[in-house]
Amino acid sequence: MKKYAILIVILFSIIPLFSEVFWSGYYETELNGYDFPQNKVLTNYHKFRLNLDISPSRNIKIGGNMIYKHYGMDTEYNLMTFLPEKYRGLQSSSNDFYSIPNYNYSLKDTIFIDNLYFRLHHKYFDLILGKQQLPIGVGYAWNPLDIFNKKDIFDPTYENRGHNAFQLNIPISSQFSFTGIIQTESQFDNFTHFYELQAWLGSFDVSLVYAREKYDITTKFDLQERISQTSSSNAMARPLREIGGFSAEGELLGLGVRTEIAANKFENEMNDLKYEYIVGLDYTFTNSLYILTEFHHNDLGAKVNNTGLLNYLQYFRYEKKSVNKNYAFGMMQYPITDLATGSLSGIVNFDDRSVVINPELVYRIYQDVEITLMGNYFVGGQQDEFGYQKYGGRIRLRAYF
Amino acid sequence: MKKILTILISSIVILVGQPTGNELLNKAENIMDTEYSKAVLIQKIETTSGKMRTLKYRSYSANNGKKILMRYLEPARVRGNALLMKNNSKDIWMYNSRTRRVRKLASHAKRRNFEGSDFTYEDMGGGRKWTDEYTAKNKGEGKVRGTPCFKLVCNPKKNKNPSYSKLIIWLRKSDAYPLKINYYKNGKFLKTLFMQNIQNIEGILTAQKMVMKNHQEGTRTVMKYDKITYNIKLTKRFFSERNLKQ
Repeated sequence: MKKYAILIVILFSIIPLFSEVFWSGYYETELNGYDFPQNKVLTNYHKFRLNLDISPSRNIKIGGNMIYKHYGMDTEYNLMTFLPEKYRGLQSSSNDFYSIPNYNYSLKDTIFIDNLYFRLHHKYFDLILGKQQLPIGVGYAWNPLDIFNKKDIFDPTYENRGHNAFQLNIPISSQFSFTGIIQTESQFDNFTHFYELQAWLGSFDVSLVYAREKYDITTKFDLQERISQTSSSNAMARPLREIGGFSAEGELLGLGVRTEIAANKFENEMNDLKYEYIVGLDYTFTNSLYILTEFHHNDLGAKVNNTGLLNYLQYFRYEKKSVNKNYAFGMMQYPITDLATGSLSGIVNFDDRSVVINPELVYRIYQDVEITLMGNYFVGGQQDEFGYQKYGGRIRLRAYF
Repeated sequence: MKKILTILISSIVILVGQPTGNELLNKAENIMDTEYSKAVLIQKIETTSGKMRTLKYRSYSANNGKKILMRYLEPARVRGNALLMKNNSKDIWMYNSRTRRVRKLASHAKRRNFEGSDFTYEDMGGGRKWTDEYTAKNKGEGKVRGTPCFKLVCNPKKNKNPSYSKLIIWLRKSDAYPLKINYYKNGKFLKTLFMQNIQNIEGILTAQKMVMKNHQEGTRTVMKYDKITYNIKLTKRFFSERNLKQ
């Protein structure tokens, strides 16, 4: 953190003397509520994001942002609160029943540099070095090809965290371009590679993707000492994962169409490909009503009868993009007035047949101030992914500058 | 008999002398056509509650408006966002500067209002395609703010599906520059566009002020040029997804 601070002081005090400097950012405050059968959780945070962009010349840009986040209300909670009750108990092979210990989680105030990058624009390439956002994929709620980011399906358009990476974009012709991204680690063998060949064909943008990474995956849940025979220091594994994929986004018969397909190969499962894909459609009616649907299948998700605590841990840690295998996301959005947009979205888990319905209202109080109200209504059985929780909601206020 | 013949001949002369609707529509498109342009525009949007919002953006166009790239300058909420429209807004890409994501939108997205204003994306970047999508009939003359005009009624051509079911366009008699356009959708009178303060900028007639009144919502958007130049050359590479992210 100290070295970043020194670098920032140097950059932002000297370079602006010679360059165009742009400040921007926002203040955001959010209140979240969760209603579970046995308790309620209320959390809130205040977030301040400061962006700085410096252009020493037309072709060079240095960009970055810093985030400060302060948490309030319930900042200490047990992750198990969010899970259906059946995952709170575990039977060992000898049929002794013991409970899984608490997964205590603490929300702590934080200040960090989210992005800090150098960008060089040349006629034949673009080079971006440093901590940067890496938006991957064409899906709205899920991105099977995205090996970098964590997406919240309740808020899929929120910005992603920055990643330390080296990115090179090369326009091959007016119809083709190539992107290579390398995310570095301490050892070369652990570097993450992502390569994409993009083409603009008719009314479609298509991409072919190859990626490889050391895949962080939780393999065991950490138990307390009294169950020492299963406690493990190897709770995580890092097999090599390779992905071959394809995406397309465009228009067919007047409808917006998108698809993203990823074939995953793991080093410990060489002959077994795991597929993950999305297919989506969208349309705007003449009265401005907008609808979007997306279907998601994930071979890496668990079958309903085999769903366990480990699947939830992997999902909460964003190691897998879903708990189970088959989902759908649907949204209707309508401009109620020129200042207010209403929407109704829903997420369906086809495997356990649970649903969450999310009405939302975004209202622009002033030109750069907007308030978002979102509710969540869960439907399903007590042991289902979207059935355990009863209600939820969020109020978010954001002011831009 | 002589009197009847005179009236008959005069009528024929007048009718033959009158340009057709399609000819006038074509002339209007030609007079507004520009190969390249670069402009800074300011939109002031009057909301239903009487509040004023301001939107400022930089716009680049090529091929008579068939390609347009817009970059938002204000308000802060959308600053840095950009929009690329090609092929008369059949292909639309939107760039969000906060998420650094480019999304390709299907052409139905052009029906959406541009940042809450009374202009749709199609209004903003359709290129001049009236003659492709509408058949125009010359319905005689009228006046707009005291200026004599031709009045055209435009209906969609067969097998075309434009966003508006009818347009009524008033073209200035002197040069066929459009001064007023009434937009209709599904039989309803939707909105009116007034083109005002027409000046000759680098040899091109340009309405420095455009006012769109939405009769359904009771709102109004005023769009003005802060700066504009036509003496600019923009490459094919400029109108690309890559340039959206710059």
